[in-house]
Amino acid sequence: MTSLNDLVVLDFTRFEAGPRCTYLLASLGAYVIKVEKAYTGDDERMYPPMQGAESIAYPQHNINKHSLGMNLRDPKAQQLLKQLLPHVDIITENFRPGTIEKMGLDWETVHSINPRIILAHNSGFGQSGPYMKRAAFDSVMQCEAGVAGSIMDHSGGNPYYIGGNPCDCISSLAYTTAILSALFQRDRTGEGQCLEVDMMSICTNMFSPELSLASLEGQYIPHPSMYPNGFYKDKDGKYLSISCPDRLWGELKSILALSALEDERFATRDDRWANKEALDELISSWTTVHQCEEICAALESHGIGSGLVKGYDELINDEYIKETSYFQNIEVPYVGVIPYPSLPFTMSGSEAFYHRAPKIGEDNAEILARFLNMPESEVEALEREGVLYHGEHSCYPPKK
Amino acid sequence: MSQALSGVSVLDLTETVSGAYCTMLMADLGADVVKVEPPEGDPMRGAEPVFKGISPKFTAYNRGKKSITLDLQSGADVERLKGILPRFDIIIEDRPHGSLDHIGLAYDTVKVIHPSLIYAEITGFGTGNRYQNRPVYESTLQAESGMSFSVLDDSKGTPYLIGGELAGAAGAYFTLIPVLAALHERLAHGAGQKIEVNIYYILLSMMHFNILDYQYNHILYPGHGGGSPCGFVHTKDGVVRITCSVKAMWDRTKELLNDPALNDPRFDDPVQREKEEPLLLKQIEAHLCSMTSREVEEMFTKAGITVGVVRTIDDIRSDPHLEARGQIVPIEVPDLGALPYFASPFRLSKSTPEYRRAPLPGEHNSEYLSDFQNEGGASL
Repeated sequence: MTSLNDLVVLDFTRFEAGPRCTYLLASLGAYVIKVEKAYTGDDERMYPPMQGAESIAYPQHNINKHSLGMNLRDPKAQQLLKQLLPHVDIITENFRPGTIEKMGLDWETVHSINPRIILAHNSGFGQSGPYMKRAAFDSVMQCEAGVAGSIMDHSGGNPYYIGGNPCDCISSLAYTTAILSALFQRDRTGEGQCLEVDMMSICTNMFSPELSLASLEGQYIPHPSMYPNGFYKDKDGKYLSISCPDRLWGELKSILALSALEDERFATRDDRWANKEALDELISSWTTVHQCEEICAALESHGIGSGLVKGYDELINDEYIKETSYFQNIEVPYVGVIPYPSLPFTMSGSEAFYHRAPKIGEDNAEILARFLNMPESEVEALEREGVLYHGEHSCYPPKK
Repeated sequence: MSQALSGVSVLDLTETVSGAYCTMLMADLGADVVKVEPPEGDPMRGAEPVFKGISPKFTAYNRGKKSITLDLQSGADVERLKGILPRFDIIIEDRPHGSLDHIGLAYDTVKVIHPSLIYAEITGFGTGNRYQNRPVYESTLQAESGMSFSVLDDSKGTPYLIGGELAGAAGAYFTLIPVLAALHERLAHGAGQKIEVNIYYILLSMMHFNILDYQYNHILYPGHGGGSPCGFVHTKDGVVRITCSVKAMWDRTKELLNDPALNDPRFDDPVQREKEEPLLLKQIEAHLCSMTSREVEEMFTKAGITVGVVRTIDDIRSDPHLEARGQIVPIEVPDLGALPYFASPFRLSKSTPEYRRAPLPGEHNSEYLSDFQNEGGASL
């Protein structure tokens, strides 16, 4: 895709919530310079799943980027970064608040060098407030922002951990949205700006209806949008989901054909929620004598929600996934070809592309020639001097 | 220019959470969002619980928008819609597959009238494949993507539904991102384009590390990011999550709690820690069970250890941090007074959000549909 191919991003983000954003900017056509610290690079390069000494997690969010490896504490490296600023449209970072300023890239400085620049901060709890200094992994945000609490509505009050780093993902998407909004504003005013997003504000934002309801009722009382809305076992012990909006309750009853469902305890959605144990038992008495694929097909033909709880083994061989070419086979240096996800959107104006993720500092020479006209010999000299770094393997041998 | 999307007009043909959430974010950013509702009102206006005829769910997801009423099953109203189409930059729609094609509002038709239009279609499973007609529910997407499977590990074999419209919010953002990119591109050459979003793909991509770990390392439950112990422990007044997914956190936890049982040299081995995780969590819990969750958080934060307090909406709505950051804002709702909502998560130095209430059905008919009778006295 080429929508953003006039843009240059100077990207200091690490782990997931930041790099997933700059992966999207890169995939929309922006030239993303991923600044990585010497020797170890992005901490995500050590993050499982591994294949031998290589992380196969890291490439997912670093496809289509260019890596600039440098010793970030070296004054010469910091000077090079400042020289790049006139060519840069967007700076991204997700250090702890205050860190990017210590590197000399505070808003006043970058803005005075390039008034069109957009400086975009991303953090766990924001650049101000009592929790500002707290570190935030995805699992922390699941707790603090109410995601784990939301599962408690359905699990009898016990919190559970959700895989897939959902809070990191949502945060990276909101980060990208904020950046593109500031960009569109700049397109029309010519002025850059400073922006910030934080995981806490982003993840709590999903619970606005619950917030206003808690205020109206004096305390938070779960109100399911429908019931049944949960998981049931089939005759082989496999789980499937059933979600039935109020308008289709009659249809569900006719499919199950159980006279006990006519009981007034199940008349309205609130009744069904209040008597969910009894209702779930009845529904299970039906699902456990049928096969999940058949149940799913029968319910969906009436518009009722249903889905098979699929494990990772099933997804690898899933017919839909194969048919829609969801997996993109992309090279990972020293590992081979690994399947990574397709972008979840298409644009009629341009095609998606997927260039493998860079090794640390792999693009030093290209980046510095492109923007600063630096000859290769000078890049090599700076590498020998330890200002710049490029590594053959994506993760440097462990520290002695 | 007061806000990032000031002057951008959005025709909102959405009827589910992902679409409504997407256009709410756009309204927060200053776009002029016009929601098209059937004459009887958007179905979400009836989303329970309803107070004095008003659904807080509807008012939350539709703040800052305008409303016009049209019966899109009637050819005359579809023509009216086509008549006002050139006034808009963007269409966002999330209806069941083929609904808009069926009434003559397919992209290929409308781009003839309006070549610079950006047209975004939100789907559950994409189009042109075996799942294109499947009904799309949050639970279906969580189940089929492996997300429910990931909960099985922690919950000893029972999947539970995750609340908060996770798939809906992800779909909203993943619509806005290409739409904003297309707006930027349009300034360069003037042409619009069609965008199609597949929400199932988003959830699948979240689960990808787990899929890879199974495929390449035969690990079905990959733990919690590569380190141990991680898990929930009870405090005096609730539950906190211990997150020693990196070694430094484990070292600091040991130092802080100063417990010989945790200092056992066999726990220097991460494999051993993972194996003995329940025991380690129990031992940690013994230290924390007489403290409140917030006391634990403060003590851990001071020691540089990451920890999460499990909170419900009641805890969150009185949170001093959110309050200090002005992240909860009151919005006036007719008949119900000022209700609290979470503010926009975007903090742009040159774009300050203004929050306005959700519209009454057809409240803006006269502004957009001059041949229309404005039905006074409509209610939310």
